[in-house]
Amino acid sequence: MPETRGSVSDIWGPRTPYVGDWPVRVDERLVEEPDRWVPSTCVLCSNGCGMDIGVKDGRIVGVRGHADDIASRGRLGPKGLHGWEANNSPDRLTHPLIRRAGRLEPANWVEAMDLLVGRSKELISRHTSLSIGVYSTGQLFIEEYYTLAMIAKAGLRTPHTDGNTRLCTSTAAAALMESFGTDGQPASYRDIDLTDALFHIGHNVASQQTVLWARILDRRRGPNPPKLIVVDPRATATAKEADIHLAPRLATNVALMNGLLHLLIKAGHVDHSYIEAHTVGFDALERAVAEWPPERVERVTGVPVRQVQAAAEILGTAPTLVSTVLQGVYQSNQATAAAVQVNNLHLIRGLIGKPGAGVLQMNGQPTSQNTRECGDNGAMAGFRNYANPHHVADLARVWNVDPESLPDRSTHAMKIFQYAEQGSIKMLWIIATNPLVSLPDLGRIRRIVEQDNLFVVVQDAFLTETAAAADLVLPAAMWGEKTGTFTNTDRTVHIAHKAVEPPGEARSDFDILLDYARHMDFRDKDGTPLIKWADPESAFEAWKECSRGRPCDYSGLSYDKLNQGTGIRWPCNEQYPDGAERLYTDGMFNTGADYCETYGHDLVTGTSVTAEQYVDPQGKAFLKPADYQPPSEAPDEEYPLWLTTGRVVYQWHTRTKTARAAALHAAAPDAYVRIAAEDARRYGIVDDDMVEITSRRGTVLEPARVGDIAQGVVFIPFHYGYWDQPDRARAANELTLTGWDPVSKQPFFKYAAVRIRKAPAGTLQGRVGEALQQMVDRVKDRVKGGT
Amino acid sequence: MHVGGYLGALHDSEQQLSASFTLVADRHPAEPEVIAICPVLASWSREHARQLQRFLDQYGRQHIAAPALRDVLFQSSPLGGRGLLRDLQDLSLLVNEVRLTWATLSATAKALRDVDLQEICRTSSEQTLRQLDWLKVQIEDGAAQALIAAP
Repeated sequence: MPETRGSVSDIWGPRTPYVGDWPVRVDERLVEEPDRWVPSTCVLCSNGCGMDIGVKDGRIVGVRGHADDIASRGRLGPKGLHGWEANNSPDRLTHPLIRRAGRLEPANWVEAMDLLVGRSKELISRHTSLSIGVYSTGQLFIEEYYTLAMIAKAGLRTPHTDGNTRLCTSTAAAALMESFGTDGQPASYRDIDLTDALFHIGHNVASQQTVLWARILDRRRGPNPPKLIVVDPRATATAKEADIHLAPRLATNVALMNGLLHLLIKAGHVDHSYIEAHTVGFDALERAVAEWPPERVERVTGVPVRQVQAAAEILGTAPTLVSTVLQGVYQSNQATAAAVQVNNLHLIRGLIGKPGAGVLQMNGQPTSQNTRECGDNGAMAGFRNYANPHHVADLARVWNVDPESLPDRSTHAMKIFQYAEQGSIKMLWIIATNPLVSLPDLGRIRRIVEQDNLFVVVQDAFLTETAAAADLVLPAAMWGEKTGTFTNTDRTVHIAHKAVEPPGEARSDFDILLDYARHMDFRDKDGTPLIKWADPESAFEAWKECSRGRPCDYSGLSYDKLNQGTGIRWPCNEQYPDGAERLYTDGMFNTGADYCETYGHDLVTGTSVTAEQYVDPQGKAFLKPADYQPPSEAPDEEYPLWLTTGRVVYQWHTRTKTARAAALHAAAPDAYVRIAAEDARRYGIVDDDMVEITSRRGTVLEPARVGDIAQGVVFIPFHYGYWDQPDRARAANELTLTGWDPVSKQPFFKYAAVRIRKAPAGTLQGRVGEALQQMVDRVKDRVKGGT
Repeated sequence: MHVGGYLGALHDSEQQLSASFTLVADRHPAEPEVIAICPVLASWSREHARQLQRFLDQYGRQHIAAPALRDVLFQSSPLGGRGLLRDLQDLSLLVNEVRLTWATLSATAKALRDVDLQEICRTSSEQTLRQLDWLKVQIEDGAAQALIAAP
């Protein structure tokens, strides 16, 4: 059967060196000859590669890339080529489950919806909707997000709505808002085709967006290759390709960025006329970074002076530059402050809004952009401003509700879980996400979710660790089983069509949400049903109207247009009928008081600036300085090493899908701990030894992999939970801490203090410490009890 | 001239405020934002007190104690959302006392034409307002849940 490459061993595929227009390379993998092809788009990273799904006898049998798609030009990565196999897994949830006398038992949709609606109404009546929290995801479609946003904010009227996007890219949105006034990616992947230099800070592109990395490798092997600077404590594939690889001490991103800005300003590598015309705040920034000469940067970050200087030389003199930022910044100390400094670098060099020049504050998930646009993650739909009464009135007009009825603020995910812990949130509706593996400090999260007085609803396609602990499980359809649209990192909107039926009684999230809204009898201010659509395309049309005139303008898009073989960027409207390649091309930003999405925040305390305090820069961008602050936890005598967490290329999140694709699972079946050679020697550890890693929160056991990481740091991939392997404590988040960035509220997954030791003999045979054994037993019981 | 005495009272107030931020963090170990931010705000107040030293020397140190507000504050149970709200409101009282004292001193510094003292007043007032704004938002964000939905 056709397979254009073995993508597990050949991750990025054959090279097509270029500069300018990226050549086509159509990737394909089939296990049977399809009888038809259905146009779709991949949802297994934030690239969003257009593809066709091959269908035979009502089953997915393979995929093939779209040659015309601007996001991929036909390419697919290993997760895209293999991940679809999960759709066919026998583990799929096929009917609702209700917990009765401690066990999850099959139920029908009437019972399930009666329970969900009955409990919702009872809680609202006794405790108001402040007792209900909705924790969703970065993996639904626009049509579902827009429906959910209306249900939560105008129907339930609860402020407690957030998604797992809080864990991955809330900092991207926050940083964009602080500097430019609204969310909205300034650059696009097109800029990679043209740029002279690339700067990846905390972003392991080779692993996280394999097709984007193929694009970058093709530039690097082509004429006029861009210079490459990478910041990462690990010697990843991305770092190994770099011309300069900086490996700073964990949690010191602000110090490093201040040092780079210091050298740029000192050398005069700044565009003073751009600064004058298009920014405010340069003097304060200059004063702040004056405190960071390279010698001080070396003392704090560990990066040698000459490396800081070499990086600054490239960043300061490259005629064009694309910077990308991701979890190494977003999930770490001073996340928003550090991400903002990357914006500052581009602003003081005037490298925004020009071909080949701009910043990509990256998304981690395929559709996380849409939670930010539709308002499921704490934002207000259409990048509107909670604190601007005209924006609130405008949204109320679109939704035909009373402005007073909309929540005036939003509760972030960790706070939602804290309210559940304290007992004021009594119902948690968890949609397409797995907090029992992906939230920090899993011991605490398990205690919260297991509370008797908390009604937990989990809507998912599989019985995840979280679903196994739920009171009500709703079986959901997956990608390929429903039609909808979604948006990637660089504002490109794609469509994915329904190719096959969902199994059993599984239903699309869209249909489940519509059914809930009908049963709850949500009405608008005229007494007619709040949700005015019954099919995805109508929901998309409604979303278009909500977005009209706002930065994320979809008004020029349609399903017809999106069916032409390529994704299309927003804004797509009369001014940009084919989508705008980049934003801020005229140096006018979205900071005007009437238009901006936020008045900004105190980068240290997170306090929002009020309308009265806001000094309107009238379209200029903000240069916001930050000083380095040490992290909340650091290695000490008792816990002498840093732990950092992250991803592997073959797995996606908690592996609900990817571990059910045979080749992906075989390529990365288990967690591990990566240890520097010097540390391994000191602890007497060699490859494959079982290592016990302990933090103040818990303990895990992992097989060792020695090398390719800075001394004093260990790394554990966060994907590995217990649904397929309940016998060993191995989830990285057993160890991570409960704390978050003051502005973006994104948790600190990237640093914790740990101690390690070679696991005592016999550990694998189950003779572990009592606390660890109890925890493993609880997980085993739950997994068994859930089936 | 009563400036020295007033400076002494302000020095005392800032130290009292710093200790109070630390106390509130200790009283709420399960509130990540409180235990992260209160130490930072405490350090600002400590720094304000430290910067006042040379002016105490210059204007003649007279130890005049700040109003003993702290003795009547932080008395209620710290538990739950309401306990936190009460502590944040108590902190706001102390911060406001400090804010008003800086404002008084600022007007005095202008009349004295003491440029250095004016500058300390300006930067310290700015940070005191940031302390107050943080408390205000924390209170507003937590109020509804604590008063309506909490058990």
